[in-house]
Amino acid sequence: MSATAVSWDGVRDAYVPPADLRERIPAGVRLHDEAADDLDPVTYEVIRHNLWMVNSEHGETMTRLSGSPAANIAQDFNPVILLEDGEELFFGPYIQHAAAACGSAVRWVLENRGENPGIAAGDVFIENDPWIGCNHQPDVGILAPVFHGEEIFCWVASTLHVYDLGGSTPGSFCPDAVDAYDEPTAMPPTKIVEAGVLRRDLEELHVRRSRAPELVALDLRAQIAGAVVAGRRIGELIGRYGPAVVKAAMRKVVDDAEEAFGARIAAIPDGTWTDVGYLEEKSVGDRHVHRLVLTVEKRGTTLTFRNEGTDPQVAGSLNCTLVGWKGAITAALMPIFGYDQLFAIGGPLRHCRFEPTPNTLTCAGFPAAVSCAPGYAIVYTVVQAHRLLSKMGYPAADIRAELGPGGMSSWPLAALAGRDNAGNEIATVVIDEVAGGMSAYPWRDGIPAGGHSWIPLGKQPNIENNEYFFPILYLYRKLVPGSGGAGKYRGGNTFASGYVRWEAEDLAVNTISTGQGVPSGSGLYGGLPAMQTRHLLRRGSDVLARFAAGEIPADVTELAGVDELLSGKSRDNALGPADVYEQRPCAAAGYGDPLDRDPALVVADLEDGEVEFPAAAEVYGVVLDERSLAVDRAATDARRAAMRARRAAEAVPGPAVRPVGDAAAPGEDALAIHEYVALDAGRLLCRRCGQDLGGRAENYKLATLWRRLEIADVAPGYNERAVYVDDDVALRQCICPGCDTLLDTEIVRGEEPPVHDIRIAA
Amino acid sequence: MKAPADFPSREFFERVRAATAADPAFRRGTEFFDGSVLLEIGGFAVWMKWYRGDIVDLHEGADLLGYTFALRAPLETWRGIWELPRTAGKPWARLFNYGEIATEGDAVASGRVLGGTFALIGHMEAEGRGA
Repeated sequence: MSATAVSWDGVRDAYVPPADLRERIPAGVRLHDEAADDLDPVTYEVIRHNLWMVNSEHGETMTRLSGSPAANIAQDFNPVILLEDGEELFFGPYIQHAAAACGSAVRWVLENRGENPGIAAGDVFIENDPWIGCNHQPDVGILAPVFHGEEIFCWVASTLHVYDLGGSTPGSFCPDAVDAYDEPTAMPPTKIVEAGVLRRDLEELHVRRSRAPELVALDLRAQIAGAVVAGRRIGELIGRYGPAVVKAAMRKVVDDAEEAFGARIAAIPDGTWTDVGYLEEKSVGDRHVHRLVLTVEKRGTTLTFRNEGTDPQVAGSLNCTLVGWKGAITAALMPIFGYDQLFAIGGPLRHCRFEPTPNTLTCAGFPAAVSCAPGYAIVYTVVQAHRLLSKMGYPAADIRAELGPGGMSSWPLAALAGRDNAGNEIATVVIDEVAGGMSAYPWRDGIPAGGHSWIPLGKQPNIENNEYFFPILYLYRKLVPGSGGAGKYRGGNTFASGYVRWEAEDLAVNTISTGQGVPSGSGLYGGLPAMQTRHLLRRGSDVLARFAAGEIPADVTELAGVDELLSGKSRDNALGPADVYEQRPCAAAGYGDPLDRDPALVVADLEDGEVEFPAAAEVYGVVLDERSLAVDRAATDARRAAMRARRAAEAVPGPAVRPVGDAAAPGEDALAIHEYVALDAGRLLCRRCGQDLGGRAENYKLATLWRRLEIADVAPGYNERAVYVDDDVALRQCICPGCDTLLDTEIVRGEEPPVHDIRIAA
Repeated sequence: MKAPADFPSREFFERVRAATAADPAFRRGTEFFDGSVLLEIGGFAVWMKWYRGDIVDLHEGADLLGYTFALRAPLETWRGIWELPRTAGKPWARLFNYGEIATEGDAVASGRVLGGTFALIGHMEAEGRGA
């Protein structure tokens, strides 16, 4: 950790379990340690899969009992089985960036609650403290020890995003919060069930904070019921196989995942990789961008993550705590390097060290505002980590198919607040954005509105669900062609939802999002950013007259009215009866140089309606007949050559550009460290043309041509940037001087030098 | 082009099933999918079980097991597969991309197998050639 004087105790700074945790646990708390030595493989597999199903049943129980659409449709929760000392065994296939929450909270309970009030059979603890065990305050953690005799055998736990837990803004994402005192109160772990009896006083204290106490009480029961079911099932397993055998199987799950993960990491050369990006709008009215840096240093089989260079934490709800940051990194780590381990995250985490700089945007100290963290620093870190780890993993050919720039790079929320005609208070988020555009990969395009890798089981609610739950009426929900970032492989397209208030006394929209003025996801290896996020209100439209005439408009532009663009943090945007609100989340960024895209894929895009006709020539340089879609190969080659030449002509040389010679492309034995760069005999070379891009330790981008562009030149929608952001932010393309291939794209603030993103150790 | 005379019917979809299940594009598009799909065409419905790149079951009407997602529209909208103005490619793609044929149920899963769905619709369209 940083050398600055911090106390990682979960009070001022986030909790970091001490290395000697077991010694700090009070003597009265006994942990079950006995594990059989002779576990046969068949029994192991039976118990392993049984434990996996126990965790799934835990999740299914919560889904069926929760009354909150964020939980029972979007699956914004996650159940966990943890070993007796809080190490994670199985994590569920639900929201992945909650990965660090329960492990941290259980360890904190073991260290801090063992004597007073004590930990006994039938107890359940509740918490929603982002400095201890959740990503933001509306995520409630439930932690239940599973006892065998007098010993804690293991833990079952969950976090679940509840409907509303108070704070300045309905839905408990508080865009106007300056600090944590404007947000739902953070509750450290508290024993809410004692020896199997729910403490009514504490339950009332918990739900009293909410605008919808009945729904929060239901969520509480859903989580407790899930834990009870999971605990009971584990008890049945112990009864069938004996505690030592079950414990041996649990340890082996973690050990095997550790070994498999380590083997993948070992195949990657040592080095350091860095990624830089920007978030918008720290608070309502702020018109600046804020820098997030993520670095991973790989040595042997150990990964060390740092955030040095990240801007200091802000007075506004843009920050996240260490719990959210670790969870976000884990959410990117597992699909790439642990995809075959049934979400057994404990083993991989043994290989990871987290060394954040405290009091920064991604490791904020109390009382920083963090209620909006999942919409900002957390989701951004997931995508940033995806990009970073994809660069790190590129040299290992076996996992290259899993790499990519990540999917939809923000989590643009619309929270509705008001009352329906029956007087019911409405106070939570619409969760259409579960269907984000999916990431491109080195071998395929991203899937349109295919969801997020970090909520594998998340679902977009049916329109009818939303119309039942909220006083709204949809005009449309549809895909947006051409919204995915361009590239050799395209990012997945996004969607747009348009609706009006319906049978409501009053209704307002609150927005929580980034990516309106500056892309939250740049592409990978020359792939381009995707279409912006947008919240649009068309005020005073003729929608009611259109309804009366029997028409249902299919796009906001078909309506009369005056447009109002909402910023990413805005409150109380009242919806009048004739106002139409359209939410359009950003799409996913692209992979690789767009001029490398196979023309046949461009034709397929046009056939499937994925992109619009002008993009074929303007973005991809493909010349084809508009009626037959037949590709003119010669004209395409000529157009692409001209587009590459134009790139170079509009660029300036970086400070270390070397003369263009007649070098040959590196051979097969060179180490590919990038889609277009290889390391050969200590030199970084363009894989296409052999151009010398510097020595191993140098930043290859300094030896490229730099082309500075307005973001709107390459990504749709950003011509509205000035509406949102005052800072000088642009896109820099790094181009090979030898062959004009687009090697990388960066979002830059001012005149920042290119990020030294890849450093392979000697 | 016109819709085949026996659209929609079980017989029509049995023919489409045979062609679709043999199509590598369908296999690729649904390789990792284990779910069921209901097509609602006006008052007619056909239910299919898609499993790892194959259509392993098909029957007329809804199924007691429900469905992963349903594609739903009036008969006239579905006829657009054959009757929309001919352009290169898939003129009917817009019916799905813009929600004229509505997706109900797990829309995210529907998006992930869109390639398979488009392969199926392509074979439905092919049944109409010569009709």
